[in-house]
Amino acid sequence: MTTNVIAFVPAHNEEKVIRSTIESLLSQTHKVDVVVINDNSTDDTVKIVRNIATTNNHISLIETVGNKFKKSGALNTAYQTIDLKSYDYVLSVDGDTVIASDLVEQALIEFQLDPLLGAVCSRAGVVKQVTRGFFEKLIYHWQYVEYAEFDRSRIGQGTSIKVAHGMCTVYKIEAIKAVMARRRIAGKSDCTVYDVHNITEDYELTVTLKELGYHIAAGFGMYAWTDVPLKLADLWKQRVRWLRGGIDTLWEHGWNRSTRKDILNTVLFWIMLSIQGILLDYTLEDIIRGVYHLNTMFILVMCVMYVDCIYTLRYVQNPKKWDYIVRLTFIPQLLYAWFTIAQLVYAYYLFLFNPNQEW
Amino acid sequence: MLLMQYLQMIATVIVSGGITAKLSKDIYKTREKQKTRKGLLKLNWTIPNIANVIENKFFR
Repeated sequence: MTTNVIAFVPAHNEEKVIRSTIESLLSQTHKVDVVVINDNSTDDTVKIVRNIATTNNHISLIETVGNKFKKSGALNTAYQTIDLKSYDYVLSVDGDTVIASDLVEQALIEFQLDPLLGAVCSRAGVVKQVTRGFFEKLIYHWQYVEYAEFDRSRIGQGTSIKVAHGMCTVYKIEAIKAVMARRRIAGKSDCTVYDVHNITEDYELTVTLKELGYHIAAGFGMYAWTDVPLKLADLWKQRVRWLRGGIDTLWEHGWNRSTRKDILNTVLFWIMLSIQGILLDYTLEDIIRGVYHLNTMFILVMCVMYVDCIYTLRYVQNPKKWDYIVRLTFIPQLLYAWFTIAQLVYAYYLFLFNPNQEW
Repeated sequence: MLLMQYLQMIATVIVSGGITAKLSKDIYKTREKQKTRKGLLKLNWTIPNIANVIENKFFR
């Protein structure tokens, strides 16, 4: 019996990449039906999808009407519109993501190996992008290596990964139906599968699936590549959204078996940040007084951090000169770490003082 | 001054310990994954890989 897989592709102004995304879906070694959900695009996305659909009956187009909830609203529209009876798995892939031709095949192997698996996400890859100038190149390669760091951490997390990312994840229909039932019981009528009130719908769905007892893993033979922001302001906005959504999710779900690790990490982050702040204060005071000298404990911490930083290069797909430079010289990585800390602190500020979530 | 020393000690132990534990776990889990799912996880450098490079460079 063939396993039936359907792919949902939410798209908002993706005219530059949607063709590549669809072609990568249609060239799968395991055939999939593709549904593109156009969400208020003002460019040629619809035209391109319709054009491809005229020559291939495996692809169809849905258009959202009055959707205010961006990606989660678009995906919920697909779940409300499409009859999933004849399908076993749903592949959710972003409109700006290209996937390897054996991705679905690899996902199905993962599901065969673990009957409790509810979702399996791809490896996190970055597409080749044209960068202008030194700073864009630096931002691109920061993220190129960082995405490999995400892969690295997912290996360590086994069958309970922190987040099955929205970029490319395959879900078991049975697990999706369990989520739908849970939303109905909770009275969340506007949240078919995705919680439309959460700005990191993928993290929220992962936590919900884990609470329902499903394993969530990463498929290390599943390759997918997406584009990344090249402007610092865009990167800041994207990351603050991820982090703010993460905090909201933990707040909403509270302390349980699926969230406790993430909550403890949050507590540890604040303890460490406070200690670092106090130490920085003392150090600056010593520098001003001219009595500062490097101590062995600081050197030890830096050495351990450096080894850890270098080790991530092992997981980078086709590493280039710049990926090595970013990590081997260490300083860019330290700056990026502080940039991430600033995002997290700002995300907490928004959580406490700005209840309105913005995408 | 004493407070600073204590804080430095706590920070060193937590950060170094945490990173070392994470690094060891990642190395262990990666090796385990490579053993159980042969060929699935392609990485940039592995010990057999480095051994081959050295062998090719110096012994042939």
